[in-house]
Amino acid sequence: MLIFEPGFSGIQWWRSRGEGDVEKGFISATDEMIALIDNQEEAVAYVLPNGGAAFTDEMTRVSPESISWAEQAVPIYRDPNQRIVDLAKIGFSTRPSLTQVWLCDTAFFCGLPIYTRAFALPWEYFNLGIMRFGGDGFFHRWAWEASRSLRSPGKIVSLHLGDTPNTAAIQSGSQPRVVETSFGFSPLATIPSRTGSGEIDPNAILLLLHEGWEVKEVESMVTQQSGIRALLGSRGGWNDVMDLAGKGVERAVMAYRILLQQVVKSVGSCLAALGGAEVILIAGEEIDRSSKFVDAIRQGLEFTKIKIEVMDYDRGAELEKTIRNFIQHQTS
Amino acid sequence: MPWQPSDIWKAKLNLLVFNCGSSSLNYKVFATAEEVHLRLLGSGKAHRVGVAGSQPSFIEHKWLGQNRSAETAIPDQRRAAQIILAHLKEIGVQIHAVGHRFVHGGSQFNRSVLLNETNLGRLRECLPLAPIHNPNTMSVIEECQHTLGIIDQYVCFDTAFHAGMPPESFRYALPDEVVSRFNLRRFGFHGLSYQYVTEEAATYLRLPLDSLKLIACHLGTGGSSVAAVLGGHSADTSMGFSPLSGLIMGTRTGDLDPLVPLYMIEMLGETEESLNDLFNKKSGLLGISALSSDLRDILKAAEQGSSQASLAFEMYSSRLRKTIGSYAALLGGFDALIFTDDIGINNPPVREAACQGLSWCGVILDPEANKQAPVDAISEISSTVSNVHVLSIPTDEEWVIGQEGARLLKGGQHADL
Repeated sequence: MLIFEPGFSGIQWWRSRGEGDVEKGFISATDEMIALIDNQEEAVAYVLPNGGAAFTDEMTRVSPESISWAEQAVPIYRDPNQRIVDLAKIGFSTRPSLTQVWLCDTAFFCGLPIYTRAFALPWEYFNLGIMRFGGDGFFHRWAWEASRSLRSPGKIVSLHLGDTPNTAAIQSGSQPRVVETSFGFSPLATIPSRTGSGEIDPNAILLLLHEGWEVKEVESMVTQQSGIRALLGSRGGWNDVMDLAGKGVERAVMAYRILLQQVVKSVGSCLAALGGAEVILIAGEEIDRSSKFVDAIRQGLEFTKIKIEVMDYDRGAELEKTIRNFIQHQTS
Repeated sequence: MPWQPSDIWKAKLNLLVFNCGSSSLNYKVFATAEEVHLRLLGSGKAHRVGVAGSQPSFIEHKWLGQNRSAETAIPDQRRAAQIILAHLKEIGVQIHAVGHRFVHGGSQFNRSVLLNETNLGRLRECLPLAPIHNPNTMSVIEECQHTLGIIDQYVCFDTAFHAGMPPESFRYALPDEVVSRFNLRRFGFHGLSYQYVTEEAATYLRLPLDSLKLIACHLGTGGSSVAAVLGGHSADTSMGFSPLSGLIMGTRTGDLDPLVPLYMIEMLGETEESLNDLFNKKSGLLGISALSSDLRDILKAAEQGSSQASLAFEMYSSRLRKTIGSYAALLGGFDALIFTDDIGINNPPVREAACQGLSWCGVILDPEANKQAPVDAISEISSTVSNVHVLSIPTDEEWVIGQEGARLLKGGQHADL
């Protein structure tokens, strides 16, 4: 099984030869990806970061129809969406008989209550697709399932620490019902990410346009030149902030504080949306490297007496399990 | 028949305070005694300034327990100030100094200042920062210069209270060169109001302000924001670079994903100008409900079964509740939650909805006390089992401006910048 997930600089892939045996890599050239697909015998999955209003299922078979839906969603989160759509089109045309699926990372949030899903704009814009799509849905589904195995059923706040930190508030029930997310229309809202800005006053965006910036320039600045990269003043991601802040590097300490502040506030916002929670589940890839950060969250939220669980998240392995379940479900 | 005030002129100085809104001009006249102590002599307000519509604009004056109101054409703030100054002259009130609320002092000003030529120049540089409020206030300052001649004038900034926020609160995660070139940072607003209500809360609770963790919600008919106040200092606030971000307001959208305006231009044919108008003037309660920007209308329509009005109220209160929750987490728990300004004081359903489900951070409202809260006095509306005091506190920005003036003028110095 082969899974592709796009970012701004390339595509991450995971390949498994059976449960638990997952290798991963990062590529930027299309022909390398095609070579991977050519050698794949089981299934190929494409993570679509933002499926817009068209994708309501977390998994959808790649078909001419679903490709056209994905194409429509491209402008919402342009570069990563475009990258995976291009790849899926090639994959589908070269190996049409192979099982190929979209993993839509926003579908989990389709059920957001309307008062959270909508922005405070005239209603016609909601109908034109301006709404909060959320994102990182597979992580939050995993967190919800993990919280059940921890015997902490009920309301949970799930927090993903890493290059694109984000939160979700999930109601109890036999199925997860999500009521809040720190993501918005795109993953850019609220918390800064590796190169994404986080929350910015809309008037500041309009000011740049007024000053003569092109839309593409502003878009490239807020999606690729901002966030942790801008705060550090050099390329780097979440783990760099954790490591360098620990060594007292001034800019990294500021980045650390900004991230901590936005993360803690987002958790508070989720708690308010849920009316409290049974557990706050914090997870991430290499979560040990964020242990001081997690301690700071613990300390800040101690007054709530809400239980905090910390877990490692292995994205490739978890996505693989999800796909296996899906295929099993389809064939049975 | 002009009033004949008796003993009020014995005071050392009479301070006139102007508080310029987008479509109103409030004034108060204070007498200052030897100490920094203020006594309110009279007040008034010009309503519907520059507003075209079926209802006429008018000015009301309240002096020595008497109220007066007169309909008159008021095309702009400068004319409103002219009428007020003429009225004060007519009733024989001598003015020794004038103070003004200035909404946006940018990075130029982090405290109140007496106006001299240098400061006036720097103030003019701030005009574009709040394109409606700042020029209005400037026109009132100019009218005072014109009518009163050489007189001490000073300005107090709504942004100054937040000037000391830590970098993690004011810094946007944008590249350095963009931040410095366009001075992009979170400034925050409603500072005079926050200063007033947090001091009032400390007095009410009989605890020193520097020991308190407070969350204050300034909910106005035009703009609304929330501030986390730690030991009397702003720790964070929901408005940002401009008064657009944060909460859902009458016609303002509040927080939006940064990619939304860009997508709307690229895919929906909007322009920078159309979005400016849309986000600032046609969104918020008005946009969602398609009925009104006035929360009272929304509540009424919701009661009468309008689903769009119900949704508008739900979105408004849910955003407010989440913002309170985020500051509760940021402060690591807090002592009191404050509601103030028109909407915050006059609408028990807003306070009830905002506090709903906040018991995890110690907030439990007393529904009866909430309903009974007076609109003209401080009132505690939390349940006796609530860990957090919930207070309804009428704000008084003019009082803060008066106090700042007394302090500045007593010093007799033009404050350092």
